[in-house]
Amino acid sequence: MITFEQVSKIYKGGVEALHGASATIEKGEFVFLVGPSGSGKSTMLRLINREETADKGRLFVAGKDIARLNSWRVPYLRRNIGCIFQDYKLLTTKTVYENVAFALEVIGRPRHVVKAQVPAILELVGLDSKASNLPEELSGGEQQRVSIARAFVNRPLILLADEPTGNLDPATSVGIMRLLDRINRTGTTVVMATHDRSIVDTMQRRVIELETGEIVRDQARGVYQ
Amino acid sequence: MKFDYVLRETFANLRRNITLTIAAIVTVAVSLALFGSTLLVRQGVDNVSARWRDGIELIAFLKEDITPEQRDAIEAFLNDSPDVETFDYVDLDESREEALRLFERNEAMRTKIENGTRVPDSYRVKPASGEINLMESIGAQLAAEPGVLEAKDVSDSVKTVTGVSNFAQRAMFVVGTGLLVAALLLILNAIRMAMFARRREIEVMKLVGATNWFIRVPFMLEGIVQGLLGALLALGAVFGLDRFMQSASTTDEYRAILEGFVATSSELWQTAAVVIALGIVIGAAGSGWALSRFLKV
Repeated sequence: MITFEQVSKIYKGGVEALHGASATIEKGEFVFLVGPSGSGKSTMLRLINREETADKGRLFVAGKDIARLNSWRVPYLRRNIGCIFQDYKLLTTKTVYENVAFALEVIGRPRHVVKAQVPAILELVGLDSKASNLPEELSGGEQQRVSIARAFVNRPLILLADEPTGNLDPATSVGIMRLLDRINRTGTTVVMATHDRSIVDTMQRRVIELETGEIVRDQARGVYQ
Repeated sequence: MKFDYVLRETFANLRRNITLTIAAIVTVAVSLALFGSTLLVRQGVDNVSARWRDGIELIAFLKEDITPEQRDAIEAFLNDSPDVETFDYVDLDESREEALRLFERNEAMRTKIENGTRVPDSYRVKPASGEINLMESIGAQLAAEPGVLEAKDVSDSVKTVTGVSNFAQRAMFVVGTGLLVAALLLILNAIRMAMFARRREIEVMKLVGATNWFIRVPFMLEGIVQGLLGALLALGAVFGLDRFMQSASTTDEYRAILEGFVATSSELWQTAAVVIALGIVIGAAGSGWALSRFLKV
């Protein structure tokens, strides 16, 4: 599903965020990216999403070399990739329902699809009763569930999560991880960057550890270390 | 879905930036009003001096009952005179057509011509030089010919109108261009502000895979609407000026100078079309510029 072949990324100013990284992530895998801040975790996620382009090496996502992808095709790539973040990135002026519906509307899905999909996904994340609330009326965990609903409503092949539990307490984090696990079981590949030791240790999934832009460990049923 | 999304977003943006939107619209309006007026005045001047084009400075209108001998005498004089460079004969049909065109919107004059008032045929004379003495002498000699109804030289008034309006046209063109640039920058900034206000929506749209065009269209439309509204206001000014020119050219007081100083209706509509097109182009250019500079894909 995702293949890094000797991928390097150098930001303007000469900072090398990723150096010759190689890894293959199969369809349906659940992978943790761990490592200190600035080790290249977020860069890997941003490369997969084509928010950044690799400077060296090749990167295949869903069978396409996305370093050589025409820029007009990028939106279609992103329709196969859901994203969630530490700060949720919800639209504060829109209700829970509208936030999720927005993701379908702006890629031109017909109204009847939106009407069918949004309530279903809100039920999956357990927020069907809060559909008409604004994000600020929800707890942090609930806001993250909205953002997961928005990322998953289009049934993407891949879900990228950049420290999704970074702002949440441990109990709430467990709930979010259960949800991500459930999404993973539908066949969706999940790649999650995290600092949360206890989550990585409990889940016992594949761990890729980065240090100053290099992959230093790639372990099948790993722990945070 | 897509259509009403685009409209909703466009007008939400226009409302959100209401002060900047108004500034942009007013600037577009003033600059295009100046442009439109320049075009209209130029057409008026062209028409007023239509008879005097190509260096023709003397016209000898012929009598209705001119005999062939009298005409031969005039042509012989024009051919032989060393002071005449070239001349042309404009026959009755051509004269009538020209008059109908010049007085297209002067109801009274038109009706007269259409009801059979004779527009005399004429010789259009280009003298060897533009010296007043020379022209007066040719004019006097022509007037003395028995077949000539009246000999007219290019009057000072026409020259004055042409001179003043050339200056005014140039000034309006320069000011209009300056304001057009200002309008472009204002639209650029209005779009930039709109994009800033909606940066989080734009971020989410990119993340979930909205196409660039889908993100762009409401902003493009916002710029075009600003340009178009400005152009419509400018049209008001252009039509107002047209009315003034029309009434001035038919009021006796001004008539001597301004006779024929009107744009024909097709010229008026061409001017209107140019103004509208410029408004749309300015709006599209301003927003396109903002998008290409500030919307990273």
